[in-house]
Amino acid sequence: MKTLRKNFLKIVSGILALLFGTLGFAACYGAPPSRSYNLNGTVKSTNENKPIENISLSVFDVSSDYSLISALSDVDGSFSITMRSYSYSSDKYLIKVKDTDGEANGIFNDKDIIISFADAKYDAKEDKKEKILDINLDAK
Amino acid sequence: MQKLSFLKKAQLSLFNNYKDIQKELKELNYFFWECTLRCNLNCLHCGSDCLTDSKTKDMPLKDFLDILKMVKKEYDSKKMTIVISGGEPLMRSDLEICGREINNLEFPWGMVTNGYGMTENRYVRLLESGLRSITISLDGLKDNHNWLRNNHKSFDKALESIGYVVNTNNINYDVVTCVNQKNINELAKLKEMLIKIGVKNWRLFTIFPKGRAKENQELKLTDLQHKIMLDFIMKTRKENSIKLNYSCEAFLGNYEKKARDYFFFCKAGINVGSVLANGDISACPSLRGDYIQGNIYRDNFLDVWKNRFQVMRDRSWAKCGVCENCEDFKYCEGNGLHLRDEKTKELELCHWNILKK
Repeated sequence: MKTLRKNFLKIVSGILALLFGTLGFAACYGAPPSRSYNLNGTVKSTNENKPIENISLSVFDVSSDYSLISALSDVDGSFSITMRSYSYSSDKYLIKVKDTDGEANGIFNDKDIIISFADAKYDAKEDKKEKILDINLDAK
Repeated sequence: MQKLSFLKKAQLSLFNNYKDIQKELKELNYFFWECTLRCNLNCLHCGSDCLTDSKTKDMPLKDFLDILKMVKKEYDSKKMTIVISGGEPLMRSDLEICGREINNLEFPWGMVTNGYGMTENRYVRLLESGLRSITISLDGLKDNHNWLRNNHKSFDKALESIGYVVNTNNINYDVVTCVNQKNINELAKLKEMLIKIGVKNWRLFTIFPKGRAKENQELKLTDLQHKIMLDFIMKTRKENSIKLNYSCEAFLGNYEKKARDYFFFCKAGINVGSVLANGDISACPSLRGDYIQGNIYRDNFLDVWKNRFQVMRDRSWAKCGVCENCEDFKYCEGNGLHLRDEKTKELELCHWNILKK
């Protein structure tokens, strides 16, 4: 019951926060908070439409060279990446998709994808934006 | 004498529901770590009275990480912002290691800096350690910034740091200016300069009467200057050339939501917690002395967060002095706690009273 009430309050609080624009609050002399972006999806082969395991996905800032975070696709070809950024106004990322395990799971061409969270759904309860990205890779 | 408009009262009444929920949830989501009290500057307005060689030693990283591990068991680390403050965080040679370890625990982190110790290499290393948000102080044009910061090179160094930040995409930042008697008349020029160098986010503070600032009259704005500053903020916000906000610190009555993006809500002890350099547990680092709720070397942090902080979560005690007969107390709950005298508990500065006149 306590958890139910807590969850209910969190949802109401998230809606009110959006309504009143309290997101992005920086306390006293503190720095502004960053926000989370969740990117979920699957990697499949273009020809056979089969999931590909062990594909590396590295997330880069679009205008610099530093890597933010990376992940590997699992046995179902699925992946989940959480990124932190500074606001919902600038939200583009470069995803470098690479086959790094050689012949295991097949050999596929690399791919660079730019994604934007501008049109992504905002989850008020979790205070995050989420996007689904399904990637098809061509066999070499 | 100006009164709160009907519309503003309705908005603030509804907003009180949000505040009540936050008080009940007590979700820690903004967490300061005062990692050092050492500072490379000797600013005239320093609220912490920081020195180059502080008697308080820097807190060992491990001690803070232990607290974060404890916090992580109870709260979602990814929804929290860790703000490394000081003193001056760049005084710590292990700051990058601190950042990386905090990042490894999946806490996003940011820092507050005067920029004096920043170099391009260091900035890149901090980014690589997970730095995702930063606030840099710039307190006027060259002469006035250097006067307040008590150092003739501080303006150039702050500007250099701002230059690194505005050229980074994946970071949230703002430039913070403490408005005082000397720089109030150059805000328009400062704005032009910031826009020219590409700054998108700017925040203005007034200097509160604590620490070294208490006795310095040049730092304190007159009532008229307070109004001039708020009018400047509102005019700038309409121009859309730079995102300017007044700081979180004060209830502004009819200026609420006009001078900043959000309504006034002192979240100290409600969403905001801190671990100070000596291990003291508080909320915003400006709340020291009687506001200290415990010490990490003596108490369990989570126990303190959950069961103490009543002085910040129930502000009924603040209805004294100038607040005692104020009909708007239910909306402001006594203004920012740091603006109250630690001994008498009375409010030292009521912004709404100034603006009402």
